[in-house]
Amino acid sequence: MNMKAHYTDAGVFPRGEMIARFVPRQHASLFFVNGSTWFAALLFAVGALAALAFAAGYRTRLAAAVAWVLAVSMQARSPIIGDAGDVALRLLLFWGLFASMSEVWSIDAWRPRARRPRRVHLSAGCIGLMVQMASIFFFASLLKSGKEWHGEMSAVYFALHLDAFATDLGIWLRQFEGLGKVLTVSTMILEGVVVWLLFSPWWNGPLRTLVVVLFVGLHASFGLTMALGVLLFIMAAGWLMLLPEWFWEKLARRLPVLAIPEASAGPEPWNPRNTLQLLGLFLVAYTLTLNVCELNAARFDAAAPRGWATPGFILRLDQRWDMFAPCPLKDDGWYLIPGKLKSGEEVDLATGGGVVFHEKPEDVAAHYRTQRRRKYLLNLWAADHSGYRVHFARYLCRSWNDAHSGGETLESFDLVFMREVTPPMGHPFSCLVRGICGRLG
Amino acid sequence: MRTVFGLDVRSLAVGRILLGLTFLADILARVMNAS
Repeated sequence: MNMKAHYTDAGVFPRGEMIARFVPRQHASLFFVNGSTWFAALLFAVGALAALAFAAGYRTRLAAAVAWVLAVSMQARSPIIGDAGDVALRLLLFWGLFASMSEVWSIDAWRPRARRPRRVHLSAGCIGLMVQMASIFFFASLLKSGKEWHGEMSAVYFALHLDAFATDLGIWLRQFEGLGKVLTVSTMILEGVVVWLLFSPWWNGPLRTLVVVLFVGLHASFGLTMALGVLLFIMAAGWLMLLPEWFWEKLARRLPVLAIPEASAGPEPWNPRNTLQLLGLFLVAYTLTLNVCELNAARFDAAAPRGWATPGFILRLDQRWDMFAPCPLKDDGWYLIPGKLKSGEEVDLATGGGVVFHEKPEDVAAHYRTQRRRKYLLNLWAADHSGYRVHFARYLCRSWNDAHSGGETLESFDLVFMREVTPPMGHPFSCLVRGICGRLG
Repeated sequence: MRTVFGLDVRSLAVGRILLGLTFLADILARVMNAS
């Protein structure tokens, strides 16, 4: 499966069905304009050029705007394969529109400028980036309300027992239940308490550096123990943006190449009366209210003015940081898709036509091959996404029969999820449930 | 305000480079083996 599967009408969900049933009406996407493969390829090419221009700092604000539009479009076209990293990416790009991201180490910085760059930049974008990064983790800590985080401290134990995500290191570490409890408590303290040190008016430089190092370390530990795609790199990018001047000046004493000798001291003059900056400040405050409301969505819907959340949906500021919340999943599994061919032969469509093995794969995480495929197939099992299954089944059937003929034509198949439940700490594994998602034939 | 919310331009540059390259890698992954 590739671009065609998720972004074209020939894929797992045609546009008409997506717009009518699965996408909130406020979520726009350029991919809804045309469902052909060439159009999707064109949009991805534009997105890739914008991402490259943004990284190089070439016409940076325009590049950020184009990258944001394309990121939002990709996410709205196929929300079932999205994760927290995608949300963070689109939000960091959005707040970057209100900040000067290319003062140094960029193509834009090579151009002649009327003023010298300053070391410290202050704008609504900077406030947005700081508040956003803090919000992700603080609100995540509030949403982690299960006893697995607060009572029995088993959250890390359950997270590392999700074989669909666990790496070799994660599988090895999960035998140490005591360490799991320490890591559970540490995560809660980091997210709920330590993150506030970002805003300390005293010792801001050392404390902010400490927060950045701790959170990058937290994400590195997630990335080493669980297969989470690009989440680590997106979060690391967000945290590195917050490294203070204090850190760079200390480093520049050892590595003079990092110094900005011509820079004026102190932050550049900031004009909060600028319309763009005022809008940015308003949106920071507005986004905070959206996060607060996510803590109790039902109560908010009753109390908030009608349409309060609509601008947030349109600008894609909508966010809910419920990673492993209220508690980590306690079940996962893998797929068997036994298909019956016209010749009578049985093949496993989950592995592209191999022999059907009913035993648990040695490496369940590798069974899913990629993070997007893992998200898609695990979400497909969830009851909320049962409406997607028939489209996946049709896609599988179409794809197989386009590539095979005669006796190899597919006649019927089952979509089987082999569900494994993680027992409470200290209990043996015994529960393996074969769940049939659907049958086509 | 400036002490607490000001960001170093070098930090913004590093974050920008990493974010841009990550998005580029993500786009390539979506095109080549998206699911």
